[in-house]
Amino acid sequence: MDATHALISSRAGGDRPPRLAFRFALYTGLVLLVVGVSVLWVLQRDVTTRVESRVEQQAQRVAEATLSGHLRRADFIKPVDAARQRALDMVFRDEAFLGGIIDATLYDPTGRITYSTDHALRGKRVASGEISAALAGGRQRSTRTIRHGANTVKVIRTVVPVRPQGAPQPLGALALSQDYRSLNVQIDEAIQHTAVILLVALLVLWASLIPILRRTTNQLHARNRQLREQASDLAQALDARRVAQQSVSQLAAIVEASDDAITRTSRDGTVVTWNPGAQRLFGYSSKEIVGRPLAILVPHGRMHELATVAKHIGDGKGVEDHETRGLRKDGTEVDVSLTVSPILSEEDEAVTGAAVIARDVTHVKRQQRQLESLLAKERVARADAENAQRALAEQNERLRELDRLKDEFISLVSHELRTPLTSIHGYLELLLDGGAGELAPAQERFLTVVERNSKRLMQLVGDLLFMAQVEAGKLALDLDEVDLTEVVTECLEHAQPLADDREIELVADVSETPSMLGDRSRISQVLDNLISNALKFTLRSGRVSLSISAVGNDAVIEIADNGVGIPASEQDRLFERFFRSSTATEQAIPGTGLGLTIAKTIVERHEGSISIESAEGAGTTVRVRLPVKNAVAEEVTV
Amino acid sequence: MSPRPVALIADDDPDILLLISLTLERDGYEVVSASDGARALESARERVPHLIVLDLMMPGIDGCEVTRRLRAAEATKDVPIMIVTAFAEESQAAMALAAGADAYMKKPFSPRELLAKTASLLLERRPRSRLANA
Repeated sequence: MDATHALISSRAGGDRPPRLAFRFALYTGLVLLVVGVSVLWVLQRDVTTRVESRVEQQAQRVAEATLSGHLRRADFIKPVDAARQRALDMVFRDEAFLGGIIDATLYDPTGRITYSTDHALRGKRVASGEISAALAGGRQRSTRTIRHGANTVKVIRTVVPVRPQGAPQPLGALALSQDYRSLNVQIDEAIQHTAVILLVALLVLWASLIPILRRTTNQLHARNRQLREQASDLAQALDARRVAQQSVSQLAAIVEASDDAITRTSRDGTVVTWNPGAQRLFGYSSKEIVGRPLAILVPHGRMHELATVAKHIGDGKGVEDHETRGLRKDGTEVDVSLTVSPILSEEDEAVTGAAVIARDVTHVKRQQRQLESLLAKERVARADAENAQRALAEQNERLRELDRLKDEFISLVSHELRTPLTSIHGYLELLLDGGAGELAPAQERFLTVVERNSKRLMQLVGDLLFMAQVEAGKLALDLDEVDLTEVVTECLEHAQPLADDREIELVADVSETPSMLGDRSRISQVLDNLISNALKFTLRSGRVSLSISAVGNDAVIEIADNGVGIPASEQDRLFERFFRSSTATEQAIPGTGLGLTIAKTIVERHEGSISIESAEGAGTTVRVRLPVKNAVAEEVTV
Repeated sequence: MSPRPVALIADDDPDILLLISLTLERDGYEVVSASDGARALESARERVPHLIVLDLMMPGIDGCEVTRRLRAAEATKDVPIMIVTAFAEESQAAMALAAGADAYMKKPFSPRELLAKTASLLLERRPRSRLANA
């Protein structure tokens, strides 16, 4: 019980059952109280009435006793005299007052007071219905408050008619007032016992009610909870049902709106439902096909597939995305992707039918075919590309081979030309030096011609090999610190014999310049070449001047002549390979057409620049700028 | 020791061999000629020369290899060696110098150039030769 109670408490969340029990106890207590009070009230009235009537009877007896023994006829005729008054006082005090009577009054038949224990009232007349009613023959009873001495006392007053035996008319009336307090005592005594018994009985009753109450409340609680749970279950069930209905209607809407053919078949393959998608795909309306076998949608050649699918479904398995063909109402076939799932009964999971979804994959098939053809094309293209690449690789290989052959050729030419040239030149020199004896003047002149041409040949071979090296990317600079001033001075010295020979004035303006990082022999080659050009294109008695100066981070070398100059139209082409100016060819000035190309190549490899200014007939100035900061930077880092 | 300095010359081209021989003989050398590397090594072992001039590209043992072997032998480790090459590339010359040659000369060269170079080579080398002889 307690456990259940606790359970309920914890379930129902708190003090409701105790409060309820308390309320019940309170209510039943109140009801019992009201009942008790009512009972007491009724009892009191009853007791009061009984006590009062007893008092009344007592008053009657007193009256009768008094009348018979002590009262006289005269006492009711006129107010009594003083002597009689005293005698009556004695009577009433002795007889009546013992019984709690505190006041006695005698009335004559007209209602005049003939005697009263309250002496002041003697002779007075009181208009009272009570007195006249009593005189008319009836006993009257009332409760009232009277003055008794200094106090106000509640009394019960009984008026009785005084009638001698046999007399038809009452002589008068006797009013007796009895102190109510003695009554109260009697009443209280009578009620107190009853009240105590009642109280005890009610308490016992109430106490015996409590367990019943508690059990009942608990039962009520349990029931209440049960009902609430049932209600909640019911609500949930209703919700679930509503959701289910919603999802069913949503599914139905989806099925309706689907582009796929969605149908349900019975176990034997009869069409049961047919959505608009199915109608669009196969051409049959719902009315036309429901009740007919699904097999009418299968082309003749594919019945075995249907059998396979049916077997799968019979085994409770599904078929997913099975690509096949369907037969339309108009007899044409359509590519479809089939998904078939068994429908199982809820009770025993037996197969009751199948859900069939057919998707039109005509466009997919088409795309697939297009994709396949594209892939095939791509394969062909790729094969072509691979072939092309292979061809390219082969070509590349051939080119590399050619390149290698070219390099070998250069080496070979280099070696095979230089060696015989060395012999030719060496022996000529020996001859001219008299190594084979004294030469005749004519012999010496002829050999000089041979020597000059052998030198030209060597120059040509050297230039050609240089260009071949540049093009093969094999021109390597032998970098070192180069004192340009020294190089310029040396070149001037080399050129001096030729200048003297041609009677050309060779002027030098050499100022100190910082050293640079470069290939000394290549820079010498450039300057030799440029000075030799200047001398070649300057007429006898002309002038060639050479200057070197530092400008910013550059060393600027200028070789100027007042020679034949270069036509303006040809100046753009001066650095082209094998280009020879018209002045050179016309005047048969020897050269390979490679000198300036080589000079430009070497200068640019030194990160410098070369430029030419020339005016035909006025002369040519070649300006070479070489950066000197390289050497400075190098010195800093070294 | 012979009154004239001995020069060993090796070149597979007989014309060049003769040209160098004539030039050096005119300059006062006693010349020993060899037509390939193997003969040059043999000759150097028999008689230690004062100067050796080697062609770089020779059949069999080339100039570089001859230089390396001469440098490896105690008798010839200090003899001045000059390499003559017809290759334009500096790398070839660099290889010869790395092998132990003291100088190189590119073809085509003139007899005058050859004499100038040999003279300077001997001047540079003389103190060391003397030291080695002592």
